[in-house]
Amino acid sequence: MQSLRVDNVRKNFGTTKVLRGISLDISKTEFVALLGPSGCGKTTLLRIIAGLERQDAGSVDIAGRCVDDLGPAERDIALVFQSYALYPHLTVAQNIAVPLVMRRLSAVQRLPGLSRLSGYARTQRRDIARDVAQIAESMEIGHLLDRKPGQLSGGQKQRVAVARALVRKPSILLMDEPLSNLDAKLRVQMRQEIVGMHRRHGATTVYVTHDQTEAMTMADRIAVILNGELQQIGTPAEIYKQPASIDVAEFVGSPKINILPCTLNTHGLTLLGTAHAGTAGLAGASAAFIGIRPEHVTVDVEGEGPTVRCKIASLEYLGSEALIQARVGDSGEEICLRTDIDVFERAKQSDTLKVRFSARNMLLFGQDRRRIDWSAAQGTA
Amino acid sequence: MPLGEEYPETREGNDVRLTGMLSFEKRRERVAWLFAGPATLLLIATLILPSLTIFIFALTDWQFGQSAVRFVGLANFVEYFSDPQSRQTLINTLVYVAVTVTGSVVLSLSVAVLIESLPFGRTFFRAVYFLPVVSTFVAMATVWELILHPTMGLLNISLRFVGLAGYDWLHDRSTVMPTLCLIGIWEMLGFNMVLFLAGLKAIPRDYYEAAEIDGASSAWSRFWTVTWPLLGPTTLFVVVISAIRAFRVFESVAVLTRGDPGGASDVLLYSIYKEGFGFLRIGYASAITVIFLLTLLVLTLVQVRFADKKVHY
Ligand SMILES: Nc1ncnc2c1ncn2[C@@H]1O[C@H](COP(=O)(O)OP(=O)(O)O)[C@@H](O)[C@H]1O
Ligand SMILES: [Mg+2]
Repeated sequence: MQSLRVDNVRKNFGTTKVLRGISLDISKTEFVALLGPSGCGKTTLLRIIAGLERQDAGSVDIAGRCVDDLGPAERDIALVFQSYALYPHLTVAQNIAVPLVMRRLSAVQRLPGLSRLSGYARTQRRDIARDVAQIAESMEIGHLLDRKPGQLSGGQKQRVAVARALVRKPSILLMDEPLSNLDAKLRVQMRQEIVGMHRRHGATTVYVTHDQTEAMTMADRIAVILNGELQQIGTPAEIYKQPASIDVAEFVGSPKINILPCTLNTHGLTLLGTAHAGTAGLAGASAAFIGIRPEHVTVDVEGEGPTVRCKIASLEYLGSEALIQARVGDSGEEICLRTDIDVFERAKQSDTLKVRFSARNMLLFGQDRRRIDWSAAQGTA
Repeated sequence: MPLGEEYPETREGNDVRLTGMLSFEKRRERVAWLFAGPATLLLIATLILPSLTIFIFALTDWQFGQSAVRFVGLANFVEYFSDPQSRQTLINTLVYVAVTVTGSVVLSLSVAVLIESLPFGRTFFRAVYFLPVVSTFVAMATVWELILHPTMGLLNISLRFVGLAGYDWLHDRSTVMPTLCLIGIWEMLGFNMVLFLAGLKAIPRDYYEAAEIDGASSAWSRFWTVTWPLLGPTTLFVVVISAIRAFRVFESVAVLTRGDPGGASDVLLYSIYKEGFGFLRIGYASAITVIFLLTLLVLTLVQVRFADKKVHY
């Protein structure tokens, strides 16, 4: 069942086009990451979904209802801010209680001390305290309820912010780079905790990040946004193995994919000035660029795919594996390969290397930088 | 933190090391006194000694020009508190402080919040409200006289226009203090507003958006959820500053009313001036100054003690 639908949303700030027509469909309980470099418009899109910003064109539906004219409070969403935005003068328990107090008590009933006079306010306060304790328990911050945000560590603040967002069971949970203020080790731990929390609570989640590792490890689906446009939406494996364009392929994956200009037509493949025979698998396709990920550039003697001779430019030892930068012939094109330690040791002894591009894993891109699905072409050939 | 406490581990060293550290700390202490010395001397010469002198004068019957000075104990204080007219100056001052502080804090906060929420013209309004702060009061007093003049004043003319009888605002026992309070509020409004504007600017926008999402959909509820609590330290500061300023009210009384009619608008500072420089009763004026200083001290201590714990987070 569809839970969030963004339809052709556009937004300009002055003359800069920040969002150029974005459409998204997210189903219930799904965890979707909005992935893109900083400045591409992710936060803006999230703020439009939340109702904090008004789009110039297009519409947003939440749970099948158009929310364009509703304020943030009426949209049944919750947002975890990059800065956490925990109220500094309230304790953790009071912070988590705010969304409930605001919704369940009227302005008069919120007056301090009134729960002593009104039985209704008293039962509401008791229910709120129970709900707060429950969510705090599930986020493992029960022992922090009496502290002020200033006395918490980054990870604890993060948990409180998530608890405040989840406490009233919103139909959509929005998170804006929630881990960017944490140190590397804590980030890895919180990644797993947020995924676990999502599994337990099942809230539809839109998670903004510029960190591809976060997107890859956490999300059911990733929406890659570049330059205000949605480039591709798909599972992490789809994004990695079948990127829609050179831009997506280059943005996802580290180290970066190798992109080399080529000519591929019915006469065969010409790569870096050399014609290659024996590329039977590519018959019938035509392309202007090939893309090959560092782990698919091998030094195997056997196998299918074009081989090139190259000069080693630099070696990087990473412990379990190694990266080799190599320059191909005189063309000046650099390629990167990811190898095991054996190959690395051997490469250290010499300055040239003969590498093979694994044909099975080669990606083809047309002149328009979009990927050509050659496995389909292959099927018919 | 007192000097030396930053190195608690030195307490556990062996004897040789301990004495070494102590002499090091002695040296540090000497250097610290060297640095603090000039400022301390200046403070003693310009503030502490004069205050002490005032305390001593307050116990004498010295009149300027008189050669014989007698020690009279607390007689000056007894005289002050037994004379209803004198007591009135203290009451007037305290009323003035209470009314102008409350009025100017509430008004300046409202004005600051309103100006910040304006879509345009913020600089203009900021300048308009700040104007009284940069102009001297003695000059502006002329304008107030024009406004408050019983027959030709703008205020009474306007009142007559809508069919109401005016007052002789500055010469009527029942209106003179309220009028002075209003002028005091007007005087303090701009400065307090600037302080509040700075405080408002320091509140991150995220809090307002978080509150909006949490369900505070009206500007009114966002004010009580975010603005008011987060402005706590600013508000305390403004209240203390305003109270001290209001307590020293002098110019408006000296220029507009001279304490009249019949002492109805007399305030502490003005009566010190009158007794000391008018009647040359230095001993008595010093006694009122002591009362002035002590009240100020108590006021400040109470405010800081009472509020400091509550407003800081
Ligand atoms: N309120 C604003 N006014 C003007 N420009 C803005 C505003 N908010 C964002 N922008 C611009 O829009 C672009 C996208 O911003 P943002 O959505 O924050 O990017 P991201 O979150 O992907 O880093 C940036 O170039 C930013 O400078
Ligand atoms: Mg952002």
